[in-house]
Amino acid sequence: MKRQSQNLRVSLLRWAWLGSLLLLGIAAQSFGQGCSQCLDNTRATPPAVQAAYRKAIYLLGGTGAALFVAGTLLIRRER
Amino acid sequence: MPPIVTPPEIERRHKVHESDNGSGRRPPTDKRTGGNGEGDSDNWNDRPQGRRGPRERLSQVRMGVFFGLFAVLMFFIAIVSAFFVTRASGHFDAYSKYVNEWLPTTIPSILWLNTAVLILSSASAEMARRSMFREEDVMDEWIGLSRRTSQRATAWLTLTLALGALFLAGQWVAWDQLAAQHVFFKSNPSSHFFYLITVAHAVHLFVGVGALIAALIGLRRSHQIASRQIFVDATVWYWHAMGLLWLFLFALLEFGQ
Repeated sequence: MKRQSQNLRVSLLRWAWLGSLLLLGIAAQSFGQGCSQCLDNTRATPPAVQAAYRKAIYLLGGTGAALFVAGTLLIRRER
Repeated sequence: MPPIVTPPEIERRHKVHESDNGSGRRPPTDKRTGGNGEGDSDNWNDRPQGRRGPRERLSQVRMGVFFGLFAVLMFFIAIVSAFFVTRASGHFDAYSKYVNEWLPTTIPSILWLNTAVLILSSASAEMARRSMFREEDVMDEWIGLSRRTSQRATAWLTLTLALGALFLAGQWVAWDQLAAQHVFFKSNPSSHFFYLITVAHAVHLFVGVGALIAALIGLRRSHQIASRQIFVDATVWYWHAMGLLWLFLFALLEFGQ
């Protein structure tokens, strides 16, 4: 009984975390508005360069995230 | 994956019991034989962390290698990201015209051969690693009947070392060929990245060659088979990572320009 309630609490906590992340993700503030100088710089940058920056961000972020997940799984497996 | 067998190192008792003067008056107090049914002390997993035997040592070293490789991978990914941005970037000239200075560098064909050599070296390194964990040979070596695992691993690692040296020599030839065509580090953004990527990888592979030499010395000098397995295993994982990284970098240089 005690174990069941503990599992339920863990499950609820997990959903609360996911929900919070989702709400943060869709909030208007999470989309970068940028200052006027940044905006001017971005407008002056050709689309091809903007796409290259985007690609670089995805590559760096994706690799970092993949390594974080891989590291966490490795540590969990070894414990 | 082959079964990994790592026999435990026996803790030898050096100390004589306090009240035993060596005349054989008292029987030994420690009667554990290490066989089955002797209590929970035989299970490595029941021991405190850090004292779970050679398998734990191997895992810890592997983790260290993997996390070190994560850092190396991020370093190269940062270079590749800069490669993509520089390839697309340019500047406005005096006539307000947007100019992109990127001129693709023709990759010397010897790099194909070098890639094949590195793949072969990775295969021979894997043979060395697997030979260190072959059950029957490991047991023979542990008992002291032979040193077959170490001898086989030495042969494969020596081959890996030779192929690694051949790869580095091939890279040198490639840089030489480009220099003959007057393509240098500062000639063009593209050649800049070519040299940056190939030299950075060669430096990391050179570290791998050093690790191979250290593993070969360890195979000769170390008295514990578990330590010999760890030397070879860690070195080979590093070598595989460098091989995979090269395949990615080579594909980028060959097809991504």
